[in-house]
Amino acid sequence: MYMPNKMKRARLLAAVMIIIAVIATSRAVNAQGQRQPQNRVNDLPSVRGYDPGHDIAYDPTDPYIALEYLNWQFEGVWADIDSGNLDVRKYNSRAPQAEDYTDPNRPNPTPNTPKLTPNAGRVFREIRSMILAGNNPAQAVGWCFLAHPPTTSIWNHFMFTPDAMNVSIPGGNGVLYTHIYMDGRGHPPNVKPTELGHGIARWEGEWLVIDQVGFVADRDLEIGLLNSDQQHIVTRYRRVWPDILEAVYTITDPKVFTEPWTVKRRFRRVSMDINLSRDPQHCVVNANKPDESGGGNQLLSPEGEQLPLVPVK
Amino acid sequence: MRRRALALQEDWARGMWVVRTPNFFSSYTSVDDYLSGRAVPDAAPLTPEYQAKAAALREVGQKDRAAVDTGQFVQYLMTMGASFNDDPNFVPLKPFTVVCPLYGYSLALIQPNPMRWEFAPTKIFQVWNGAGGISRLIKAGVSNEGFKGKFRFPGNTIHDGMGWAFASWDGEVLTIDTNYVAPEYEGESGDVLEIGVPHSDKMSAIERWRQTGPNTLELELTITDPVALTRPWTVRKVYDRRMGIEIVDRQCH
Repeated sequence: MYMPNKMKRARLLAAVMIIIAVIATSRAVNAQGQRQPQNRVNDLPSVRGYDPGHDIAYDPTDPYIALEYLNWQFEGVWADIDSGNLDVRKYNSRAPQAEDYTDPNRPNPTPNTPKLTPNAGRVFREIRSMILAGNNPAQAVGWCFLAHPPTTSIWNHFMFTPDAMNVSIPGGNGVLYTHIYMDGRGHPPNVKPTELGHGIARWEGEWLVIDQVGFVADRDLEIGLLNSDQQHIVTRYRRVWPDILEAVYTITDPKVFTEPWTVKRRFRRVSMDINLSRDPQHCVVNANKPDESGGGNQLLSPEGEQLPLVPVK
Repeated sequence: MRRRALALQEDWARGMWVVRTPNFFSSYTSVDDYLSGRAVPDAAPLTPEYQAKAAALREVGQKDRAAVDTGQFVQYLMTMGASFNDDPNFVPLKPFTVVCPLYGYSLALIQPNPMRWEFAPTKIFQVWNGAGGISRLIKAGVSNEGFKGKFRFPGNTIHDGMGWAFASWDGEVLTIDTNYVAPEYEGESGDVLEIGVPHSDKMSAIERWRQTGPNTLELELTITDPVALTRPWTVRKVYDRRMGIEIVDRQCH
């Protein structure tokens, strides 16, 4: 059959392209088969500074290799990307300055606001009024004084050992550190209240579930929203992307909430470096020293401005 | 070698470790001994400039002990007050004082508080008990082929009171390389080599930790500081294991 040269060339070109496509597909399949399972892809950090200097082995049947792999998954520094507020729907809001949780008639109430007990509401209102007046007592607690998760979970370093995990929260000239048991034990019957409480943890599939009790009272959940010694926090961590960590907090506190408060926060892995930028200014230079003349604090704002003095009652 | 971290986690991470003769690498026996003004033969080999600084520091310390003894360092804090527990009358701001021993490197290594190790394949925590509660995170090599020789301090590393450190294994010895140590923070007396011995921001150190018995660790520390020291200063300390001590939250920051 007669076929013009142009058509012959076209058919030849098409055949060559098909062959190339088949070969490419075949190679891709082979490559896929040789790679780790799909769920291992994107498991490891992708941020600057990730250079272990050797291949990261993956073998879930080898406890040590699995532990090393887990540590690599959580390696690095995780920074809060939800502006320090517990509820992601309150981006960039300045609760409680922005909202009086105790006012049922307030405009545009944030969904999922905490349901406060009468006493907690009274304390909240008093602190909020001070904040709105420019005297922020939360500075003394939220920035430079110890608080426990979730408030201070702004920076995290996770470390897993065979039977425990350690979390550090770098701060001014030092780090907060808590040891969380993962050996199956429960909370002791009489927990002595401490700043970081008593923590136990377990894995539920992909969720890392941390259960903490035994906190000292009067630390802030959000700025100005204080906890009691009855606080019980269950935090569920999940890596939703290689460098994104989701935390779901369920906070029970019968002295503060009339029902459990569940909120979310997300963290982004920002660095693999260990040289976190610690800020000695807030917590060392301005070590909450009372002003001898006025009796209030001598704290500076993040911008370095002197905050109004708060009279000491 | 790869599994060394796991072995240490099962051994060194049990209990806490207490240094013999705290606060000094040299042969001073106590802060009072140091403040007495006597000279010791194994003192840090300070340059003339830093000898003068050390002498001035001791002079201040003889008048105000907290100037050299961070264990006496008092901070003034404020809290919201006991609103939910023992104080029905809520006090929004309530000042109180607390003794905040803030130990910097390398004094932190020989502070009197018990020390705890935590080992994971990729990192080490070293945590000291007590109100100061200082701790440090150390990048640890998973093997001699791991971080060793590959980890570098970034060029923009910020000096810190505890410095920044990475570790590797040399046989049975845990080697920790520390650098970028802040010489001082305002109002703190703990950022010294040992009590009364200042250093510069050029200081670096190599620690070699070795288990010498079931319940004893030995630290060989070599400190280099081209500004403050005339030569590297190598010292040794022994740590004893104590069981049954729980970590106490730090009350300072």
